[in-house]
Amino acid sequence: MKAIITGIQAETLTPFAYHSLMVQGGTATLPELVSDHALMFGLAATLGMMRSSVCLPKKDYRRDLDAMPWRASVLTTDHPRLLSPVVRRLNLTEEAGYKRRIQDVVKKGNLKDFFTTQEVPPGVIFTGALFGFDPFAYSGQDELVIRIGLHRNGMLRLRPVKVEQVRLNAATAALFGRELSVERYLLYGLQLTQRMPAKDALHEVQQWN
Amino acid sequence: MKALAPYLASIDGLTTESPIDDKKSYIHPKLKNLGSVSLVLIREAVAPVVFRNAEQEITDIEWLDDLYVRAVPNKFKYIERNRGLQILRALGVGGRLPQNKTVLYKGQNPSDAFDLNTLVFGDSANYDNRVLPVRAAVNYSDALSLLPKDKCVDETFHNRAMEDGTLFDAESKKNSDNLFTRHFIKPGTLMVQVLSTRGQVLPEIGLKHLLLSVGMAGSYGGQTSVTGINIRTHVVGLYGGKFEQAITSPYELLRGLQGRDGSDVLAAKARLHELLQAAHDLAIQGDEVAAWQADLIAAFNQSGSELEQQYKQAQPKVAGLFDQWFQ
Repeated sequence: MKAIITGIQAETLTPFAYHSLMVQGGTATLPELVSDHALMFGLAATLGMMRSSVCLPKKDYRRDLDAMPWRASVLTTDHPRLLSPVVRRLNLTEEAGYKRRIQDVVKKGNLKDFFTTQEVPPGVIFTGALFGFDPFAYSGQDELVIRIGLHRNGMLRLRPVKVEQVRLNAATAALFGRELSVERYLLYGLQLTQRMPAKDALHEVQQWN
Repeated sequence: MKALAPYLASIDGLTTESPIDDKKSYIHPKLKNLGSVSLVLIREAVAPVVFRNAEQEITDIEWLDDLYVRAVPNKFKYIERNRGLQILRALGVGGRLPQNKTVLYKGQNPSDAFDLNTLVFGDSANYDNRVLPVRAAVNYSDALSLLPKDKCVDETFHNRAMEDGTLFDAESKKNSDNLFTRHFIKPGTLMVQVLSTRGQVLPEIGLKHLLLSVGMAGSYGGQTSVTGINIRTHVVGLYGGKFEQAITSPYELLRGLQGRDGSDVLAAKARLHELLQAAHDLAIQGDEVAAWQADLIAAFNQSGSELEQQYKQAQPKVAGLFDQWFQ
């Protein structure tokens, strides 16, 4: 992997949601960060490096990340915001009914017809870094739009900036057999390390192979 | 439509074959390539419409120091996807299962459930003990009103009166307290929405199917659609480029419309086209797209048309993609 550090500023152009946190009646998104996976996969899609098919392959993050020419830090923001909950409806009964067995489950509340999601609003700015690859130089664009969130409905505008300190995701490091100390455990797949200088982070991610 | 070809997939090349060694090979979907097409629409309320969330008020979002009406994608996508199914059923090339209820039994082929509609709008199916997910080729954005919420939402006051026309309930000997307000979006309100693809995943027949579905749907109303359609769709244009552009976010488009008349369809279309054209390699104006749409609808209504042939030719190819991929 080349020793290139590209500081990234990411601005949300539309709201986006993840089913990150369980809240009553639905889920809320973690408002203070965009995960490194979201950035890396989103960028691969934008640069035309994904499968062309609309069908998904078998899930294997190690295999997918290994194939990518870059590694990333988590994108974080100092001004996290969340929108009020939006009600979603799982309308599986619209054109045809459920079987009796499924109906009983729905009534008992395990599969809700109505649930809420909470999204990150447009206009929030995150920062982080990409290592080993400069997508702006590669594509000749001064900004790139990537898609993140549920149904890839969230648009994120990436621009190059200078970044001093970043946080890595210890869970991604663990995929490559590296053990990092964790400052904040958010989800199984999102474990933030302490802030570290971008150079140190580069040194670490160069060993993720 | 030929001009769009560099940004679309080829229907003949949905899959490719790669060798494992000199004897064996495997089939996989064709590698994605750079390309993005955005269809920008203006949704005009032509009768009162309700886009409600959990509360009685219309769903809104704070943006540019004001509140705007926000319709989440499903409000439109659901109707258009349903229309797409009906089109496939009418032509006998798909739509075998109801919308949102795709179940496959052991021994069935994925293509028994998945069709062109799946490719365009996405779907998933339970198959044995697996879930087969298919990503939509086309993403629907939020539809956002061009005017702040206070200028395009009104409310009506209702009561559940007794049969004699008063609120007096003879049985309980008191006035009914069954009073409520209902919020609705006023006719004439314009909302901007963007339908976009990322990567060359949508074949030309898929784009035709999308245009046809959008052109033949047109109504959504929640509670208010008793008088006929209440949403009319205007096409701002079709935009193509190697990369998706930030301006195709409706929130960015709204920024570009600041300080302009948000109730004039023609002016809004012209301004949006100007903004979008500047950022894209290829821009096709709305009138031309609307003319295609009209042609497609005419062709659909005529039996044995070229369009019908194209649908019929595409069907085995789409079926092949799903069968080869999921097995």
